[in-house]
Amino acid sequence: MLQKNKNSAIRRFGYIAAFSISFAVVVYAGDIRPSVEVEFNMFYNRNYPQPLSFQFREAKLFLDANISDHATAMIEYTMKDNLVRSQLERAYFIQHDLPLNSQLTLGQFRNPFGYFDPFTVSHSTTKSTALTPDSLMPKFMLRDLDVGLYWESNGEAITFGFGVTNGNGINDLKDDNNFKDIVGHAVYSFGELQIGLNGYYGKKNSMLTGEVVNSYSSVEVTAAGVEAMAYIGEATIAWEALVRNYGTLHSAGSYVTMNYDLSSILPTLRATSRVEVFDPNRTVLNDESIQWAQGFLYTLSRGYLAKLEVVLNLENLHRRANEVFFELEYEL
Amino acid sequence: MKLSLSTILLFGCILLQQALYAQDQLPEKVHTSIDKILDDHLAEIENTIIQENEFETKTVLLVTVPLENFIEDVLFTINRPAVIYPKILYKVIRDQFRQGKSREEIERLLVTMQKQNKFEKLYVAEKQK
Repeated sequence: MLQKNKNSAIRRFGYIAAFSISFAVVVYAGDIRPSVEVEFNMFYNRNYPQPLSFQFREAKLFLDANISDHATAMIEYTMKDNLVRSQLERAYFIQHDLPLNSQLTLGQFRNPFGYFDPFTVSHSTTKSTALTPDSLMPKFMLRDLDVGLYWESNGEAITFGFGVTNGNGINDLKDDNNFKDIVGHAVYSFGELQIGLNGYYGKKNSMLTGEVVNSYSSVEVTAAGVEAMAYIGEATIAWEALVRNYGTLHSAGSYVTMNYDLSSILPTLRATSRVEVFDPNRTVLNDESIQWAQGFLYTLSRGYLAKLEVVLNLENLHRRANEVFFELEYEL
Repeated sequence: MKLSLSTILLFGCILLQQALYAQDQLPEKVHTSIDKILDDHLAEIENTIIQENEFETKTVLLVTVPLENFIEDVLFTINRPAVIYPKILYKVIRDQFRQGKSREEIERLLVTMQKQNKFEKLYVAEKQK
């Protein structure tokens, strides 16, 4: 019995030692960089019952690896909602410098449909993660996290790529149909102006087809989008418009965002403005939403940021939901 | 002379800090999709410039923030890893300060060079030497 316990202890010690050595080798011998980003805030939102609060808003753990000149990998684990809900976010390997100046991404990544962060309608107007709640346009599952392959060629003037994914979001091993979703993306650059096209085709299983509940039915999802980005002086402007058909539901939306550097007024100060229009159902009249968001970001020091965001709903339907956010953020 | 453990540790930390911020320690090329890691690399470049040159800390610190914001705006938006060249960046910023350029001019220059892909061109030229 004593011998058995001794062997077990030795084995346990062996595992711990092996793990520690492997960890040390991975972290220090290669160009692999672990990183922790914890956002601690003093937060003001006049719409909340207690407008002034402190909170840990989010914690992210990263492992970013420059494996060689031709290969990189990344793992991102996020704890959200006051650190209660956590999940593996991006986790992928990229092989660079393939023929046609291309790269291949394998793993779990954001679908390459249009722009996403921070110009996306579903993210913040200012740096890092969103202060504002999800904005008007739903994500449409067009640029959510998904699992699959993505190949992209980056030329001097033309960039194009396509991805094949499960179409079911994060890697939960619940791919509910054999049809894989396809995402395509192409961009042409005219100096400091880039114009791009996006396409999406997939099938989602649905419990409801018309009025009939049927667990084996599927609905077709198609989407098309155009995008443009320009650098004008100290400003970067991005515009995007998209339409999506989810079975019989037809939606459309568009936004324009401008980020501008105000260092000439105050070092490290920058501002961002976004106007967004969203029509959730094109067959219903007068259900459109229009939103304007204005944000300011000031970097006090490395890791210390001050943010101010104002979100105004311009049409009558949501006007009472206007919001003001102020946040002091510290990133470890 | 007796040295306490804390004194030895303190000296150790100072030496480690000195070793951390050396031009030779800067990587040549970095791919990253993480804003925090981009931030860390740019901070390291600024700290190395401060440590190895006679420039005022206040002038150099955060000089790369507009560049960082631009990279995050554009590259992370279009879902592509950022590639930075820390050694090249170090040399460009150091040389600009040595030429007496103002902080604002340097900030603007870094963004312009990034837009025109000039850091990569300098990196390729150095590699071919």
